[in-house]
Amino acid sequence: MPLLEVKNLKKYFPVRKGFFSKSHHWIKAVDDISFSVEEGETLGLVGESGCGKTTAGRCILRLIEPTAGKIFFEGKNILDFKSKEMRALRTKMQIVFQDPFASLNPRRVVLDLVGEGLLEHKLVKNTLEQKEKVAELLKRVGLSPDILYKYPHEFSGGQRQRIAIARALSLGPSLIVCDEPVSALDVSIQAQIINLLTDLQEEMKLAYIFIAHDLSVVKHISKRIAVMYLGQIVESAPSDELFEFPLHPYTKALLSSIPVPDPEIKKQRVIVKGELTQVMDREKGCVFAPRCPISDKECFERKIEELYVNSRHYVKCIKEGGIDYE
Amino acid sequence: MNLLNIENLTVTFSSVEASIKAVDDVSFGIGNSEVVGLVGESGCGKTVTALSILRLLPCPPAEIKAKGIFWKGRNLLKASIEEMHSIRGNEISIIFQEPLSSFNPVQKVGKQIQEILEVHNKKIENGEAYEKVIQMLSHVGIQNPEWAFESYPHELSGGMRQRAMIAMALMNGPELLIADEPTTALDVTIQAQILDLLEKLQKERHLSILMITHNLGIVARIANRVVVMYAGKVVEDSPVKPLFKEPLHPYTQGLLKSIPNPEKKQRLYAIPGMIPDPANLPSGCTFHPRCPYVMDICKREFPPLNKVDDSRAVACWLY
Repeated sequence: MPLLEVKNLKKYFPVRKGFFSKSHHWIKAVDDISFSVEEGETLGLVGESGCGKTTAGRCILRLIEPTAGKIFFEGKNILDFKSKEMRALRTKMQIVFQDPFASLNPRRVVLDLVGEGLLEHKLVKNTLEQKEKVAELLKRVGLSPDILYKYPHEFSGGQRQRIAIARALSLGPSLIVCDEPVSALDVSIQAQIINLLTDLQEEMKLAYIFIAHDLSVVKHISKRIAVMYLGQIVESAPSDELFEFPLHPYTKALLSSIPVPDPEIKKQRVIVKGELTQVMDREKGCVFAPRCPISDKECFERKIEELYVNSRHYVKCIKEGGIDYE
Repeated sequence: MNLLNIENLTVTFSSVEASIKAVDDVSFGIGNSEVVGLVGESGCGKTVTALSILRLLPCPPAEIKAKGIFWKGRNLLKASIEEMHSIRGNEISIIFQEPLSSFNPVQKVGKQIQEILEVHNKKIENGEAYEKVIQMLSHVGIQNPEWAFESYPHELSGGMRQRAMIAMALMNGPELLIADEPTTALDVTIQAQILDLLEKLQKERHLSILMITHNLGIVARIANRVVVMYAGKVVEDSPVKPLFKEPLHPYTQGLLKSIPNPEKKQRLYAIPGMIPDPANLPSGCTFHPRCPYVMDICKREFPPLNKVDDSRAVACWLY
């Protein structure tokens, strides 16, 4: 049984034109996605801004209430949970946000930031025990335990992200949603945080949902990758396979757009036209068709189903990725 | 002769409590139709260097000291305000990271671009200027230039805004374009489009570009030469191919090793420690607390930027 299983998850946001008018249009931020995460495994969720990857991550934690779908955590559908059950569940699912400058309350010291959940969920008996536990957590994420009474502004971006990770770890979760945890950091610090995350995963058998737009980072950390475009997962595969045999034209475009730090390599490119635009009330056809280099009339009109190439690799494209690099 | 030569540039920001050297004794040049990548992490002084070339830094609090910033042999630091006006946007242009905050939000995009023409050429007629703007907009790959001309900045998408920004910068046919993290705010597929565009324009117009970025992948793609900065100093200056093949400075080596390589799956190398606080820099070589090859001399003295061969220079006691 997978640790987390998401089935046909949907989140539609209403679009209102005026204050009083009823909404007639919907933005399909997450449109019918399904995936699962095993214990101790990392699933990468990749896509450009506005593709719905963050919304998907937040729906899993019910920080945003999904419109439809099922989310099974340890076999139970958490969308049926009452708030009390949900509260207990929060110890097992945690999140690390992108911007450590915004996700830590500037008026609270590290001890409170990291240790609040411990007291709240009665995982420690008293403040003395809380202090010990927080110091231990800080050591584990590579910070000195004598920063307990410092404020977030006294730390650099990398250190803050470590504090945020310590906070996520404090309740002993089995799943952490990492929402772009390194994209606000400098290159030399990024590597430190990625290494920390992989170390913690090995030590504590954590499962991650790693949301990012940087494919090479995602590849490095994930076992499987799901590529999202306009609310849908357009391709999902084990990460090595995705890099070696990408099928969806969008995946190919993404892969070929990563600038490689080697001037000797001239990349073969798949050029995509235009930019990601939200389409309201889209009913049929492929979401990527307007930008796709190989789309034709059929792509706009047919309902696109998942096409499995093997049991772990599927693509949502009727052309089955029939393009070659130029 | 180089088009632009920066010689011993030092920029200090002073406040009551402290004075911070954001840029410390920086020298490098940009040749004709050369693309120079200026690389470094946040706070290393790359943007301050770029802004001081155009004298866009407010002084005070900034204080610029230098032997000179020579533009075609003319010292920009000695130029009068009028002379600077005629150079900015005319001979040297700059584009910024976030085009939404660089445009005036309450004026149509086209009008703002047209203004650049009119400022530098008082006699130009309205119709002619309009034609020129439309031509330039379609040249930078905007599909519907008439529509873009009549739009306000918020109506354009991120990629389009950056294209409009580039159109504006190139309006008067400058010889040098300073691009300050022009693609950082954009998605990867759009980033690739903008880099393609810059490459195309560079070839057509023999533009020189100073590309400021923290992304080594972009540098590898577009630059001929790379200048690596760390904590306000230039630590390495090299043509692009040898830099990526055989980086000399330990910082450059560390940076290159810390990028995840999709081909190989192994533990990432991480440079230990943190970027130093500019108000409280370490003694000697500013990189020494993080350097794996640190020697005694590194703690005492900052190494000079020494030439290792005709084209490469590095500031490190190892060489």
